[in-house]
Amino acid sequence: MDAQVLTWTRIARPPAGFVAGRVVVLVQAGPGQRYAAWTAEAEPRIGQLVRLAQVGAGWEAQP
Amino acid sequence: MDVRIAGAAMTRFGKLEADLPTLAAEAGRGAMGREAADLVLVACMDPQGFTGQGNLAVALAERLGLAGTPAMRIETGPSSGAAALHLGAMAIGAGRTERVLVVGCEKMTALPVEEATRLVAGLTSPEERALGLSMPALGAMMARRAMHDKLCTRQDLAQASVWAHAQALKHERAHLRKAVTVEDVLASPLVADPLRTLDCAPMSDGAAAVLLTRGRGPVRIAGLGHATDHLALAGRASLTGFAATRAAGQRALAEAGWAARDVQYAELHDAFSVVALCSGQDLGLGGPELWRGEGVPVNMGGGLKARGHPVGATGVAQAVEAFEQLTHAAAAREVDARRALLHNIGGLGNNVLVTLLEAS
Repeated sequence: MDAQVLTWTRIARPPAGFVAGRVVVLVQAGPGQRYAAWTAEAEPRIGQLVRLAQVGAGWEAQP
Repeated sequence: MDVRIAGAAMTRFGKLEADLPTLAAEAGRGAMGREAADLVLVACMDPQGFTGQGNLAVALAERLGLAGTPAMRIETGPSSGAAALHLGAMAIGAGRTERVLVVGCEKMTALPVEEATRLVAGLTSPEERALGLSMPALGAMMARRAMHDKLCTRQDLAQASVWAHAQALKHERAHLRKAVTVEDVLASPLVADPLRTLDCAPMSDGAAAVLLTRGRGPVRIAGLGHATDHLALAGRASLTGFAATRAAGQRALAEAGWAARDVQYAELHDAFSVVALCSGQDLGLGGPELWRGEGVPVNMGGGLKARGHPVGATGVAQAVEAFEQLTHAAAAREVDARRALLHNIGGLGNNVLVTLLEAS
């Protein structure tokens, strides 16, 4: 199964304790394997999937 | 089960000076009138976190002159109000009590917005919360996916807020009594892309109450439905609707012997514009057209978006609005309806209650 970014958001007004501007993606990494991940801190495998999925699915550019 | 609503009242919603027990008592007294209650259920999501007031049920019972009466607090997040209403109806239906006062309340504006957002984000899963995902951020992820799947447009989302604000202009107790346009929504500050400030219900203070009785009162509870779902958005079968809403709606309709087409008026949980649109579709009532005033009338009091969203009060405020609609007491907001559906969500669609009411 190809990795997919299912959806994403950029958080402009986060809860206390978080920095504004963080981008979070929801990734389908395989059957039954869904993860929410912060693009800048994602584990290497998820980060790679996110980049692949951005290219493949044509989602808007991530930082 | 013949459980009815005999009285209903709510305070003004907004940024209010009064403390939480005072707001709750004002609504409770209004709903009881000259009656008494033999059980008090108070719905409030986080009184201690937002205000420092613990043991709220006793504080409220004492304010109402009901010290000695059984009282307890019910919490299922922002669906706490409907949860208390359902439990009150079940207590009467089980023959345990005759008159239950259900009070929903919250006081959210005393804290800075970032701190209040952190408290509300406690409704999310630990894994998603650790990434900084707040409730509106999770809603934004749904909205992004719904637009990608062409279930709605950005303008459709904005129109849900436009509709809510237009209705709240007719409601003297509403929090946000100001008309807005689609352009206003799209130009408001970003909260979590693509949702903006005017896509999101405000944090409000306020209280609402209903008195439930066995067989006495002008509005009958016709059906109750309740369902839960996975805590994390990542665990859901769908990213553009709520399975818990569909299940709760089906259970309530089955109990009442109604079909979705029998609903003549609905109060939908429009905490975010995308949730408004998804909820109408999940319940079989309709899509974006509902928020243009076509089909089943929805949220004639402004909904959560503009009447306001003191989270623990919301489910009871929906019942108050429907009570006023079904008893011809809604003045300029009134629609011609004898059957109403109330839809109250806890968390991001993972603890949902649907209540069906009928003029008796």
